[in-house]
Amino acid sequence: MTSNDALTLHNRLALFRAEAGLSRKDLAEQVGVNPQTIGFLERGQYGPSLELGLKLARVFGVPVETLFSLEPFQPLAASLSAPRMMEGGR
Amino acid sequence: MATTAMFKPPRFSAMRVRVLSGLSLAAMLAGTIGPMLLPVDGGGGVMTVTRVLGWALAAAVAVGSPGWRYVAPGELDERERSERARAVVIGHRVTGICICFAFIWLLLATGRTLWLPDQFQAAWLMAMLFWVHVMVPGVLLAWRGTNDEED
Repeated sequence: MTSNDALTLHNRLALFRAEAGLSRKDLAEQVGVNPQTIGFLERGQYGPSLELGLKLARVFGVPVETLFSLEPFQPLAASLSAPRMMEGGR
Repeated sequence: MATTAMFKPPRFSAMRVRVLSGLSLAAMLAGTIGPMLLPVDGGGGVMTVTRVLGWALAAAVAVGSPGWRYVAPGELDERERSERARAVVIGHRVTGICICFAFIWLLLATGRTLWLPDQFQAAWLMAMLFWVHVMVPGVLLAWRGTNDEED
């Protein structure tokens, strides 16, 4: 994870934060950053350091690759509908 | 054992830095460039007060934003540190370019009929360049950052 200008890092931070019912301020306090930094991360305007990425993953109790990826994440609707389609196809 | 109170600089909001820096730049331009373009006495009270007001506002911006001034360890998070470093580099380049242009102008103007500032005008221009140099990183940070994050 780098903080370079040409970001290719994708994340599902907003999704996990909303599901956990945390505000940006709450999450920022837990990982020790400015709440604005959470906004920058969620908008994909900043790539976190490895340390910050690991801290964020620890807050949500997931592996860091669940939260961050070099490839774009599948849209939530598509990932939810995929198993149903498979069940319906049986 | 006696403890000494550490000076903790204020942290202005992005909006405050934008407003103060805008006012500072306007005052410095009016007080410095104004007398060179208009038939106004640059050494007069009004122009002097205008310039000093611009410098004071620039000093406030420099102290109130973590751009040019010293930043204590832990005061900024990793994103803010990297943005500050970027802003300082840009400010350094801007000042360098201004000094380079001033030097080229000086070389071209020597022995020719090109305009050159007198002793006082040169001092005012140097002061303005210094305060702009001091303000630029804070201003860049203020315009890059969002003022209030909404959830």
